[in-house]
Amino acid sequence: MILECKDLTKTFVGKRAVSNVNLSMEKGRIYGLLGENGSGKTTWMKMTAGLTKPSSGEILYKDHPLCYRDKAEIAYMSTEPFYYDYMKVEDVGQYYQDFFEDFDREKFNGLVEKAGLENRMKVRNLSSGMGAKLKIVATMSRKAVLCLLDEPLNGIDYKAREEIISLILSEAGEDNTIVISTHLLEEVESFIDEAIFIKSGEVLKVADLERERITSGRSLTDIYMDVM
Amino acid sequence: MGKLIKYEWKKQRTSRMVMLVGLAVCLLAFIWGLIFESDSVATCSLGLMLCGSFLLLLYTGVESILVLNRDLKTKQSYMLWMVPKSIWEIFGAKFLAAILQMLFVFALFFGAGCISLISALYASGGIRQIAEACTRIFEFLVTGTTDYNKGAIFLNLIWFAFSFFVAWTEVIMIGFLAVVLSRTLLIRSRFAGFFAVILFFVINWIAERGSYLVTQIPGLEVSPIGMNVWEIFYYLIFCVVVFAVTCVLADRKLSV
Amino acid sequence: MEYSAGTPIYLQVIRELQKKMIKGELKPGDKMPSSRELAVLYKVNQNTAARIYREMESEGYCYTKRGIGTFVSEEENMFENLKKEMAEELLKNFMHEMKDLGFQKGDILCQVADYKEEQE
Repeated sequence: MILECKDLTKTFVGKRAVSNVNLSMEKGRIYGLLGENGSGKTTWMKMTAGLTKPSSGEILYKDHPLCYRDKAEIAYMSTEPFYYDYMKVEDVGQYYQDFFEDFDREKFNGLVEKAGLENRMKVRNLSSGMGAKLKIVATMSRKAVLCLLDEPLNGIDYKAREEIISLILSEAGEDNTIVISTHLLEEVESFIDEAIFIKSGEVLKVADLERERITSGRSLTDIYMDVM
Repeated sequence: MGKLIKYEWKKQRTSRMVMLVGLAVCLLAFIWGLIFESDSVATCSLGLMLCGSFLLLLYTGVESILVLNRDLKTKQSYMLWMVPKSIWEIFGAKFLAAILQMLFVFALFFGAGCISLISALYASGGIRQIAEACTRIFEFLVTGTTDYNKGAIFLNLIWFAFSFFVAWTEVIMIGFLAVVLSRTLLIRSRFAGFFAVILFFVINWIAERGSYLVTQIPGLEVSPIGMNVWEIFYYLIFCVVVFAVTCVLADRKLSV
Repeated sequence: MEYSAGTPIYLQVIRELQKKMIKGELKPGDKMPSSRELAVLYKVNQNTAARIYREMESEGYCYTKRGIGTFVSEEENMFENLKKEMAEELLKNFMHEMKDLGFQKGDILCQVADYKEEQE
């Protein structure tokens, strides 16, 4: 088991953002974290990435309690841009190279070029599509064991979406686990192994999509409508 | 650690540039004043540099606290918290980068002071006087420690600088704690920044009370310049404790 | 490609690959895309990609050379049979639907003969 959450709860002032979540994730699978905005997807992800401290419950990474050293194997990508204002595309590469041993600079350079980005571009001035591509390129240039992608397809045009999905799929393999949070069901339906439905901080259902199609003939949207 | 410091150092790049430019302008004004014998320009620019040096040394410390606050307030916090570094390293790097920045400012103004001095000497008496002054300073440095009076002044200067450094460290440590406290208690609140300022003064007050109590210990003489040994000792321990509390708190409770 | 909801993805991709084999876009002995390429091409995950090749191999449509890749089977009559099978299946469905509407075989034959192909 790569990741296990036991009774994971996060309370913000008077509000439960994540409530008693029990989940386990395996190697070599793509998980879709599905739910509306504000359902607790981001909070769950930030806890798993070690950015937010749980109020109660526990997170086990490879069977031990999550600690800062695990960040060497866990890659997190937030929805919002988060690079320093002064950075250029190449500085982002340098930053990842400086801090992550699993980062492949040559791969990064190649993907940057493929995405139509240039090393001298200022991060702050990138369009939202370009910014989203840079984030995913930097994140996927790591050989991370666990990849947490928060809304990678949000707010960008069709072409950039397709490029991002291709990039994710070409990096997904049997050695890593990818979690994608999104509310765009159609975009991810064909490639997520398991769908985690989350609403008001609670996990309502975890479904193996291919198995659902075989046994009950239900599509992702069918299950979504049933559960939510 | 070195890499963390590198990126912390970069965050204060803008203020370094501003300082450099401001200082260059002042220096040029001073030299211009000397050349065209305009006393008012020369005095003004010299006064600005003197005041500026002290204020900026303080500001540099405060700025590193502001940088921490900004780091925690914005999404840029992910940059620090996504890397596999312990909280001790992160805050340690922040502190060391703050020291570096302070040394930079110090060196900058020290250099500017030297240039002003040399140009003033040159303007009033030509190259020979500079040479004489240099010899005298050199003599002072070499023989200073053997000669009681000069040596005492020299030691006092070092002592004063050290006291200043300890006081400055205390300010930064308290600032870090205040920011972390406010960000753990009031996550994403609009008042977090304001709350941090209040906390800063409260903790500072506590520190001052403690230091007062230390000086009340009978048999301790008060040093005429800077702080006495016990005060320094007290502040150093205080800093270590505050730093430890900051890190433990951030490690357990801080969410970015 | 567009997937129809509720049908297993791996079956839909297999069908698509089989069509390519019948049409000759994938010729006997051709190297098939790697499972990674297949994943990107058809927007599926690695597990589905692996399953697709596993199923197709077990039915003999392709074979794997260890360390080199997966290749289209070289038995040409296999694809002839496949073509017939697929056609039969389509026809069966069609006849079934038409009979549901009340047409007899004779009527259907006339209709097919009269059918004008849509202009592109």
